[in-house]
Amino acid sequence: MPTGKATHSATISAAPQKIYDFISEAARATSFIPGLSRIHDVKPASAQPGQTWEYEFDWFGLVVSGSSKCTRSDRPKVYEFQTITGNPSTWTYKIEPQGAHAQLTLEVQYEIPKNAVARFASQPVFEKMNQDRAREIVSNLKTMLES
Amino acid sequence: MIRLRCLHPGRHVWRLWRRSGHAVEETWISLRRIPPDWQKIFSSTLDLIWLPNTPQPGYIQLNDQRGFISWHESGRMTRITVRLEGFSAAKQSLIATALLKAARFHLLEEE
Repeated sequence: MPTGKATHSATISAAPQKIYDFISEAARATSFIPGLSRIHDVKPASAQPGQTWEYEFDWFGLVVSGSSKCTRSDRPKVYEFQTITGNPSTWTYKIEPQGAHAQLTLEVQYEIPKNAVARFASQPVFEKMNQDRAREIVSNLKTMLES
Repeated sequence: MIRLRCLHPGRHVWRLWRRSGHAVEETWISLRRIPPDWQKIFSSTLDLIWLPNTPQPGYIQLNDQRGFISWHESGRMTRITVRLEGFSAAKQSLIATALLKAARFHLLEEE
């Protein structure tokens, strides 16, 4: 299965701890990830390796659901999880202090399903869509945490 | 798992209209058999995104005059009004979307 990677960074005017705490509560992701409609069955409640939850994306009636698992939680530097069913992917948030601010980087590694490539005509289009989504997620986090 | 749903079960809350300027104001309607606990749905969502709020019967006031959410039940319909102010336009839009998702998808948990 071919793989792809989307990555985007931004400087956020907030302390690394604040950014980490906002990102690492799984249920909060619906407020900054476009199309993510629902997170449920988060177990246990606090972010830690092995924590799992169910997710559901909704794009105009096409619903993609699956399970995720936290694979790394190193407050306030790194938070990582994997989608373990549905379309497999690894999401890594890295937070580096920059004076009074912080640099947030989101990196998403994903498998490129053949049916999705067929659906969106070509692999470059699919990859650009994911890159745009990573940019939008980081932008939304900046908006939620700064203003 | 990928499922195609023409009528998603969350699609019983619709945005009727939206007005934006220094504040954003939206009106939604929900068609339902039994009114859900709107106060719990919206207050827990605001808590989740770190927006202090004061719930009252029929509405929730955001602290520091940042707006309100109100709801009125009539028959099988609820009319919901969301007003947000004092945030950036982008943040107001994100908050409104988070609340709309909560209205749509918390219902699934309760039915």
